[in-house]
Amino acid sequence: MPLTMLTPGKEAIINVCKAKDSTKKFLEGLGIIPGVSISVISEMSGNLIVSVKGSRLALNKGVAGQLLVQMC
Amino acid sequence: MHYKFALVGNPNCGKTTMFNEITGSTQYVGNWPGVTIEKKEGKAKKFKEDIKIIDLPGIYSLSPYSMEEIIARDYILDEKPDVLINIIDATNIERNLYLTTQVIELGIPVVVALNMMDAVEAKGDQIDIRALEKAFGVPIIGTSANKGKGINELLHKALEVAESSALTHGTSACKFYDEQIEKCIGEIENTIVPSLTVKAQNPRWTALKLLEGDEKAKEKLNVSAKVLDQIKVYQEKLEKVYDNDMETIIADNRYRFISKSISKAVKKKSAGGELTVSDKIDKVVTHRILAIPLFLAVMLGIFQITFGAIGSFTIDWVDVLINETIAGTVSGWLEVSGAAPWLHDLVVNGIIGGMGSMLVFVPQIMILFFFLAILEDSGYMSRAAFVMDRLLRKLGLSGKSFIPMLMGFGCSVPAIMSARTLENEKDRRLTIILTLFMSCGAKLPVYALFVSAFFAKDQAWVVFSIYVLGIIVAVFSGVILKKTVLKGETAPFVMELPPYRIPTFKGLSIHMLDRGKDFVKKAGTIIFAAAVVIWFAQSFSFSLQMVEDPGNSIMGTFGKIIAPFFAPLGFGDWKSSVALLTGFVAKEVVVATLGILHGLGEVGEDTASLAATLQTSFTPLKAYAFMAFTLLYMPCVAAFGTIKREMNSWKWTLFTVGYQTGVAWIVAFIIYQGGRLLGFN
Repeated sequence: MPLTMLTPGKEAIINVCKAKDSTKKFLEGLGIIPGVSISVISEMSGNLIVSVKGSRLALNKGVAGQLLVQMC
Repeated sequence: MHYKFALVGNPNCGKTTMFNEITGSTQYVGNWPGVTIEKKEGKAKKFKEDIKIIDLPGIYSLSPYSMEEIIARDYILDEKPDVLINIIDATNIERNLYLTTQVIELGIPVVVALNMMDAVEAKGDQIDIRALEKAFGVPIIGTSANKGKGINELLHKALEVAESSALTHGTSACKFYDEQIEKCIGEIENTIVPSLTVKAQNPRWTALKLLEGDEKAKEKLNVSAKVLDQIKVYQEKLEKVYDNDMETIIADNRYRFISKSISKAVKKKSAGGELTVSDKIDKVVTHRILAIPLFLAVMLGIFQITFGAIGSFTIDWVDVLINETIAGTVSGWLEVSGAAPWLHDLVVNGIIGGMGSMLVFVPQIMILFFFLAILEDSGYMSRAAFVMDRLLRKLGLSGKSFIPMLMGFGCSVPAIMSARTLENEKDRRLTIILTLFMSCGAKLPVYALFVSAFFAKDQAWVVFSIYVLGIIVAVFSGVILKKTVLKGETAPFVMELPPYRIPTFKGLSIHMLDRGKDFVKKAGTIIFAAAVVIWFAQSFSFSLQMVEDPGNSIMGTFGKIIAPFFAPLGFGDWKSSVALLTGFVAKEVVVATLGILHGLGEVGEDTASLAATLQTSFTPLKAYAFMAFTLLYMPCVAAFGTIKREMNSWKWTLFTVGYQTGVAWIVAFIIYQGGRLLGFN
């Protein structure tokens, strides 16, 4: 399921990143790659604050929807 | 010996704090990703060797994404510093080490500074530095830059590395990838790399970049189609084995290596997963209902303090100091010493009057910058960007554009430059254009002068409405430009949110005093020169005769020519027209010119009497149209130069300036003519 559907507070594993290449590279640098666990800290009209590898990242709805996750 | 050490690391990992500690300089340190947008150089103090330190913009990886990342990467690859000091935020070690793996692969000697160790200890976590050194094959030093700890040790180690590598040309032998990938890298290194037309300085790195399919590297190496086909065989083979694309495989391998090394070396006291203090604050600050009201309340609060009672108190105080105490004393001296009337006029009226009319606003501008610095240092800035993303997306921009726009309330020059954090060119151009509609600090004296003359009762609200007008015009411009000349897809918003921090007194005062100093320096140089030129141009005619009526002076003659352009906007008198024109030098000069033309600085004259004089040629409606025009029209020469440099195109620079002035004219026209139709005066 897309990350946008993950309930805040729950943890999941990133499966696939469907963003375009340049965005994907940037996300990799920030720790967002398949196999990494991610959790949603808070949500504001679709935009998310997530926790990845101990840091907090803000993602807009569009890019969050391109990350497919799997509940662990 | 001369050495060059470059500081590289993730955004917000403490690079600039480290830079300041090493070099003894006071570069501004903020709490949001992207504070350092240009590389900065300094010399290491306390060392007899000549060591140059270069502070690079923060980057997450060496795959260039935004402009600042390109600046950092190009510097490392082209300038070849002797040692790369890789600074790591030890509280966020796993993510930070990703860049480290890439940095080590470059083959330039690396020393790692494990920074913010004090925060790690405070949390009760433990890091086995020796174990990490062994895993990564580079020296690692624990530091706490904000407390000055470990800096000397770090520099000594870097120096040692620089001296020994000068002899050995040491490249790291560290291998981060699993067997299959290492085998491919090895094969490419041994068979393909030697056949390249451009000789590779670091064969392993070249092989890796070819395997990764790095566009920049391919371009630089001038790779032939035949070589690309050979590489493709390897890529397809690995992609099949791992069932993923090549880039992800490499990134995944790096992270795996890091996780493995960390699991042995780092012992965390708490398992993580619970909400931190920052998370709890974020729950409120980015709450779906509270976020925007909270943001507006913060902004309104800042305006009330800056332009309300406290702000105007400082104005009155400085006004008395300059226009009564200083002007009176100097005037007295000149009379006693029997100076010629023209000299008396130049000094008292031209210089003191011209500079004084803007200097009175220095404390107020410093108050504004004080609050902007709090927003930056606390970490609220990036949250505000997050909160505003959805709104900005409707204009075709991302939340990242918000930071330049907010900084635009201070000074357009750094604001325009901070648009570099935007990754796509159209977004960056649009952001620059819209940032210019955010009223900069230098325009404040103009509003302050006019509101005190015409809107004495509601000063803060009227000024606030001008700022809001700027935002509204920016909104409309955004929608229009995005649909016409700057069409394109908006980049996604991805931004790291640093933990909240209580701003330090030192940080805030550096920021505030820097700004105050800039402003006073500007008054002493550009505005001083402008005041002298303006005084001359309004005192002499074209035949260089001193004139009684300034209307016959050089400036008067010229002003009368351009005045009709402004007549439909309500201020067609030559003095106002000329004042606006001189605003190109710097916006404060508008006030200085009005001050000189209306005889401010003469004994007994102060800002209040300039206001009284203005009431003879303006009405409240005209004054409002004048302020609106000042808000929107073309930027000052410093901003103009910055736009040219950042847009890197004359066409776009001229478009920007023309667009602004056109919009300014139309808006002022609507305000004045519309206001008259509605019966205002």
